[in-house]
Amino acid sequence: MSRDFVLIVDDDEVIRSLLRLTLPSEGFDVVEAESGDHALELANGRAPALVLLDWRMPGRSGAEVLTELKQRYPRTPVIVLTAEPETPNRKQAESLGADVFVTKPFSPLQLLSTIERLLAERALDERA
Amino acid sequence: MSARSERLAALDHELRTPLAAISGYAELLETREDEATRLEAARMIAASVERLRTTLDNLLAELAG
Repeated sequence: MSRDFVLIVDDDEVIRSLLRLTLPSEGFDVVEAESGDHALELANGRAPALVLLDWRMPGRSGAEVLTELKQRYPRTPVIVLTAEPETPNRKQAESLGADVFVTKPFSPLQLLSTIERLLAERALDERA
Repeated sequence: MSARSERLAALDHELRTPLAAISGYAELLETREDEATRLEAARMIAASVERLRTTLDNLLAELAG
């Protein structure tokens, strides 16, 4: 069986790299997508353990990717990241099933504890 | 979205993304001990400062234009 993977979706390489360094270094693979299309391709037929999703991307938007991911894998936690602190975006993301909404700049340490909490909840959920 | 609000949203993104990188990598520099992560963080901070400088230069040129 292949290992669990966390999916990072952001068109910006610098932010993808920051997110990769923020993640816990053990326990799962980290897979990166630079676009929404690529993300959906990588999550084809295999549920990510967790998704970090940029909201504003060229091409397929974060909202479209979130909708598709939640249809395929309703139990996969999705953290939406955005540089725009607008309330409408947060409300839309939450209505589409985002588990956590994080505005940039963010603290990697705080994000790490959020990620660990969601992964622990998912593990409990899977055992239930 | 009007052209003006679209431009403002893009500018917001162009400014906040490198700011997010700088503050995030700075925190990693403070808290991580492994040399590879620290080196990567320092490199990304420098690149993000350069990116902010370019965005600001372009913005000032646009406003002066």
